[in-house]
Amino acid sequence: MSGKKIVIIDDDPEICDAMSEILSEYGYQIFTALETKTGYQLLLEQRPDLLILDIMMATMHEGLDFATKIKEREGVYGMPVLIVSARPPVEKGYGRTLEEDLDWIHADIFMEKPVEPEELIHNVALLLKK
Amino acid sequence: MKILVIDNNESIRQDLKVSLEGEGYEVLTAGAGREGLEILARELPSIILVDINMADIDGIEVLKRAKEQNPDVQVIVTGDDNEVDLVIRALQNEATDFVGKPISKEALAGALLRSRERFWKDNKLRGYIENLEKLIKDTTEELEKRHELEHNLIQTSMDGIIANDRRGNLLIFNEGAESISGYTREEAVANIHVTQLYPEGVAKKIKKMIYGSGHGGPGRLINYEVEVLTKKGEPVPILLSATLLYEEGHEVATVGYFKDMREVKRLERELLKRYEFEHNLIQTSMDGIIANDRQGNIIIFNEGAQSIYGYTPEEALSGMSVTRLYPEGEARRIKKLTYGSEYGGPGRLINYEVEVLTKKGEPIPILLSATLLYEEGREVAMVGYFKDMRKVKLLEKELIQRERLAAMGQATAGIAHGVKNILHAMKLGAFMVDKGFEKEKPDLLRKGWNLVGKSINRISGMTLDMLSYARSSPPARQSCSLNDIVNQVCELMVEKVRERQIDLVRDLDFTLPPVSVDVEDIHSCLMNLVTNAIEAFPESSSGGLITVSSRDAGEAGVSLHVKDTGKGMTRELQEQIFKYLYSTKGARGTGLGLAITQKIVHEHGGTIEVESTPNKGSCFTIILPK
Repeated sequence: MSGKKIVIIDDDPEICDAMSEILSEYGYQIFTALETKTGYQLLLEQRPDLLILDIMMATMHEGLDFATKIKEREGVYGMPVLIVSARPPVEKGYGRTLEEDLDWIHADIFMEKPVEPEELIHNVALLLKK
Repeated sequence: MKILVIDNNESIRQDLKVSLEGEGYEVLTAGAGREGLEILARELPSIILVDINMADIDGIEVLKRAKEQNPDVQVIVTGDDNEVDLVIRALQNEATDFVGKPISKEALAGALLRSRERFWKDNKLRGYIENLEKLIKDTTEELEKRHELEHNLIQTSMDGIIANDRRGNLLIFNEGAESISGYTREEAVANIHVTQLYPEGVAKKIKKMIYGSGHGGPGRLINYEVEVLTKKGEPVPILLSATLLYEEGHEVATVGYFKDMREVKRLERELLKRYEFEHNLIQTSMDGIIANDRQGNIIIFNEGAQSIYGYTPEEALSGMSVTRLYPEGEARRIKKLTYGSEYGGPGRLINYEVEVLTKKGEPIPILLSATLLYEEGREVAMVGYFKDMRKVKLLEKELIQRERLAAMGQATAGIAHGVKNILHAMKLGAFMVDKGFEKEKPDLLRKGWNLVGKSINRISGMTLDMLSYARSSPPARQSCSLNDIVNQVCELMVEKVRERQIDLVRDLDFTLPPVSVDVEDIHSCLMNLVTNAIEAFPESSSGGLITVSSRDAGEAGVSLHVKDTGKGMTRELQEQIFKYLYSTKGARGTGLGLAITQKIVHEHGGTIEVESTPNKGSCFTIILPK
């Protein structure tokens, strides 16, 4: 058991539960939040080794804006972020392309839903090794 | 009548005084010439009787001075008859008479009689003369005044006024003439020949016309358009009137009145230009412009109209009736609508969609605007502006097609997104099941299987939603109580709200009349609204209030309200929520719920509205007709 801390922020409680169950099987310590506000609180409290974030949360920009924010905040700077998302449709005012988004979260991994659980576990291990 | 007697001899004076007073005269006497002159100046006698030989001033001198003072005074000189020189001198100095001494009564009476007559005659004559002089003076002044007035009139007239004598020399040349010709009065009068004011040959022609009778009668010329030449040789258009002046039957002069037509001509040109501009505007307008008179005859038919109808302007303008431009009865309808106020007020018709008939009988969609034209308050014509809508209609069709495609693309993207999320959960579930088996962890296996099952339900729910949204059959209406539906929904939600520690309160109007609706449809609407209300509270928090109420909304129908004290919505968000596939719930929402609810309400002929304040809550109101 590595005991590394992972915070998962996803607004779907079932996904949160499932991810939590699966990743705990691999010895990680999991904390979940259904919204960014409590999620940020968790980040400050737990100082996790990895953040798994769904970028298509309640509002279109919430996940991405949050990712940008935590990258800019000194307290959590350097923490890897794994983004899981059903690729957002381009319309409805959401103009940033995926490539641009990756540009400012360059060191991390973006996974498109549906995610292969094995691949997810692999990527988590990869990011935590760094 | 006053009479002054001047004599050195005291007794003669007294004798004369007595006898003259006896005849009714007022008698003054003086014993010397100087004294006599003093009395004369003071008393102004009418007659003086003076002795020619006196010590200080002699009678001749008195006579002279008396006449100087008052020419009317009559002076009778007395003296020695033998001194002929003196008698002649006295008479030369306008003495009325000479009476010899000693004075005989008869001679004196005769002299006095003559004096009185002359006095009266002189006085009258002078009155006449004075009157006459005054009359002449007044008349002269009057004439001068009138002349001055005429002179001023002539001089200051805006029009040019010139007069020339029979030889063509200019006599009068006023300010107006100066401003038209550029010559000063001094330059013109007596220096310029009238022919110099016109281009060669024109003066002669004008003269001929004045003498002729074709232009206002012989001796006159009225409103003849001609050009005059300025000092610089530039032509100026004028309107010329002229008349011959006579004195005692003889022609003495010709007077010409020049009306400067430069401004008028300029305005005329401008008007023409504007007319041409408007004409061009009408002719080249992309829209058809057609005007007809009150009888329905076409009077304007522009190029645009030609391209719509296929008639040439010649065809249209040769007495064609405007009714031929429309299918039967339509022209009359348009006329009626134009007079009415439905489309843009009386006398106007704005953006009326109509089909017209071309020359070949083809119908063409037109957007018609029309207006009545008035002249001096009387309707004279009707103008129609015809916008050819063929291209617009075609574009409209294309747009609808494109919109349909875009909607389909959007729908596909939305569905894909929903499916991806559900698949994601399914994969995680399946993985958990595998791991549960592998590691013999029944708990993990159960949880995984549970997730798979939920995901299957979600997919089927989403499919049903999509079908429901796409459904085109009308609602299966039956009479029912809305309160019953509210109760059913609230019962179903009891468990869910308890979990979240939310109070779900019903506030029902028990006098609500039954309505005819599709029960299942309204049930799912209400379910959707209550589910949304529950989700309006953050998952991390607990507590909150949801009120479901029913009301009789009078003529509008019956209303259902679902009110929550949740997080509320911004105005921006409120505008989005009824859109197809719009979701604020990420993976859990299909973006179909409110779209379906709205569709159902509309199918029932009702309305759905939302009022919301961020952080205070939202209230959805459905109104269904009774």
